[in-house]
Amino acid sequence: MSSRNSNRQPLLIAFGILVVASLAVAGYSLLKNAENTRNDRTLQNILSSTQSDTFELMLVSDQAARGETIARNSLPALTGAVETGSERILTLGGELEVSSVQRLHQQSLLIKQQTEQLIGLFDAPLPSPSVDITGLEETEAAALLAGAAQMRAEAQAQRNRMLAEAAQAIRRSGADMLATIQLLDRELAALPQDLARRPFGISLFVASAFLAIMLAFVIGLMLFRETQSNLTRQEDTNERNQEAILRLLDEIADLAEGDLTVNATVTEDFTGAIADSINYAIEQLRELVARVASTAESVASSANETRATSERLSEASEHQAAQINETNIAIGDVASSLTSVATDAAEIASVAQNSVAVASTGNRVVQDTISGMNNIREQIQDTAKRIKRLGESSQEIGDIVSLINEIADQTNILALNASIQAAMAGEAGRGFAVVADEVQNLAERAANSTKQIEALVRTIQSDTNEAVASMEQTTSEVVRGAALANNAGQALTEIQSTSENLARLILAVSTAAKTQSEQANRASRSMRVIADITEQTLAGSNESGQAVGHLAEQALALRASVSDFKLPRGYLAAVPAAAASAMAASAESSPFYDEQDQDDAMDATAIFSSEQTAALLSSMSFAAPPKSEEVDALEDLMEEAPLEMEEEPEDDFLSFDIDIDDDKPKS
Amino acid sequence: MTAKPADLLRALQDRVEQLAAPVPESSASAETQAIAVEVAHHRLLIPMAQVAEVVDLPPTTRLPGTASWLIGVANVRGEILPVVDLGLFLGNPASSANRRCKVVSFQRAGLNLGAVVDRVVGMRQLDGLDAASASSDAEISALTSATLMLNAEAWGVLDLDRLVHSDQFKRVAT
Repeated sequence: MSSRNSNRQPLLIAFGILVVASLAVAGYSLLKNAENTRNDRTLQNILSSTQSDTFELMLVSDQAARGETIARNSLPALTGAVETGSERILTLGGELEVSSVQRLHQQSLLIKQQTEQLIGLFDAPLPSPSVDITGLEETEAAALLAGAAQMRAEAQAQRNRMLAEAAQAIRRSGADMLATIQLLDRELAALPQDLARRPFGISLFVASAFLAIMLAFVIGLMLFRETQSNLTRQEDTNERNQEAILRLLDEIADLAEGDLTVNATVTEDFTGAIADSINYAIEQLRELVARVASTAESVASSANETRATSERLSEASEHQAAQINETNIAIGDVASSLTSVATDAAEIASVAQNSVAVASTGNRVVQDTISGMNNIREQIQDTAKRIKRLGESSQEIGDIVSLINEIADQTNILALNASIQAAMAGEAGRGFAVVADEVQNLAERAANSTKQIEALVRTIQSDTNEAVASMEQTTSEVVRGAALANNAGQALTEIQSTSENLARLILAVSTAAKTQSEQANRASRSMRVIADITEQTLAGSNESGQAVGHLAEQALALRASVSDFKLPRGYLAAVPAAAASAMAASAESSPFYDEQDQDDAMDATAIFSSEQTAALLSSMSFAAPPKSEEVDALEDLMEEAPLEMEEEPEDDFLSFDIDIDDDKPKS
Repeated sequence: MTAKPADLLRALQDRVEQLAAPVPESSASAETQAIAVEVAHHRLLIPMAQVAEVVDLPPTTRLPGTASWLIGVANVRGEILPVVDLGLFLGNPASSANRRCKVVSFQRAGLNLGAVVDRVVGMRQLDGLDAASASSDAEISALTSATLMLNAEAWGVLDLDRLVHSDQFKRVAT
């Protein structure tokens, strides 16, 4: 488009120069005839109308140029016409007579006629280039050709439409121009005096109008000529193109059967570029088929692995569910046992409190025992003292008794001597002898009694000694018993404090067991949630296993669908590395490569079913995830025009390319 | 007739004297009574007729050149009394002279003698006592006239004449 704009610029510049020149001429005339303001205004009106006419002419020429390259081709002729027109205007400007107005009118009429002729020419249908397609036996080639013919017909219709639009525009502008000229004519006729008074200004105005009319005429002429030459040139081109297309079709006939070993010959014809593109497309198609094959294999193997993994996953999920159920039961048991532990611990705590009380009671009893033992010891010591005193008293008794014994002995001896004396006295001492005998008997009995008393006193003394010894032993025993009771009291105190600690600890254990029971209940609820999630996971893994199986089937179908393609020998082994590198390159998301890649994809998938194409596209776009609109658009394109690009003229290919470009910014 | 009380009492006493049994002829005469003594392990009865007195052991003066059983001579109320240790004399190893011993003095063959005994038990009546077998000790059996059973014990009756006239007593001074 831009190139066409650039082509149109010199023409516009030429028109601009022309207009500026005419404006300069008009301005000069205005400078010369500045006296009458009314005439000036009229001239200004004329000038402005001329200016607007000129702009309309520019619009017309613009519309005409937009239609085709006619304007470009007719540039030299137009330039020449403009030059002659300007010369004529200059000569006309030099004469400037009233009669020239009449000539201008006639010229305008002539232009009108010519314009109408031109319109008629435009309305006539273009000769359609006839392509003999019945000679081709291959139905697909025939279809391609039919499509090409259809497209060509559409292009012709479009071109005709544009020509008609241009013609209508010219016709409209011509009609406007005619009306303007008539108005100008009337005004000119209404101002004969003024014009007579100002011949120079009128002649300048007439020259400007004439220049405009001439310009319109020249443009119409150029359009006509360009159309004629274009038609003849297109005839020749169409014939050459037909031959080149037939040649190209012969070369790529096997391609339709999936033979990717063919190569199109690159000639200098206009199909050369197409052949080059086809070769490039075939190359891309080979890579694509090889990549599809390898990708299908890897997808199938990955799908198998994934299916095995998901089966294992589902088994693991079932196992996990079973484990979670067991764990849940175990946690329930733990919770109940913890509850019982808590109650038991509470009972134990009360028992421990009881034992604390018992221990304190025992401690008190032991203290009483100790004091009682101390009393016993004191009493025993007192008793021992008394017994000792008793022993001492018995000792004194023994002393007294021994004294009595001595006295008895003495008495005995005295009685004995008295008896002896009485016996010596004979009959006179008979009474005395009896008394002495009695005394002696008494003394003897007293001595015997004192002996018994002595024995008794000795027995008493030994018994008291033994009693004192045993009491001393008892005292030491009591002391030891008191010490033992003291120890027992300390032990009971320790038992008391230990029991208190025990009660406190058991209370803590009870509360901890309660807390743990609650936590176990919470854990049980959590485990139930986990069990639900595990069931969902199980279902999900089963579904994913099925989906992966479906994917494997599709990969196999994909592989089968590309197995019809024939590839050059040894290509399949060489390509995957290249394909991998290409994938890596596409992962860098270079826009050009993406575009190429997707073009390739379209070329290849034109042969596949649309489902597989969608799957393939989704699997291939690593860098840019496929948008459904894009895929839909591609599918639509494939369905309505399979392999249309090989046959299409360059313009339509360009427009197609532009469509793709319009899509690209989305991704 | 009126009797005086004193006369009455005198008449009663006369009747009592007439009717009363005479004082029994005491069997406990000097011939039938004896003093029981213990010397060492010997239980001896000394007839009372031969004994003059029983006294405590007085202070004695040792006589040189006499046998060991002659403790010495003592002064008993002005009289010289040789004291014989009867235990030693009878062949006992230990002397019987101690604080509680008694000396039985007697007069035989114109000789005052004192015999030291361990203990004087008392007077015993010799009548009615059964005879017992003599002691196997030759020394004591030579000096005793009889052996009697008294309260189930064997007592030897010591004959002081045999003692004085024994050969051992004659060898008092060597």
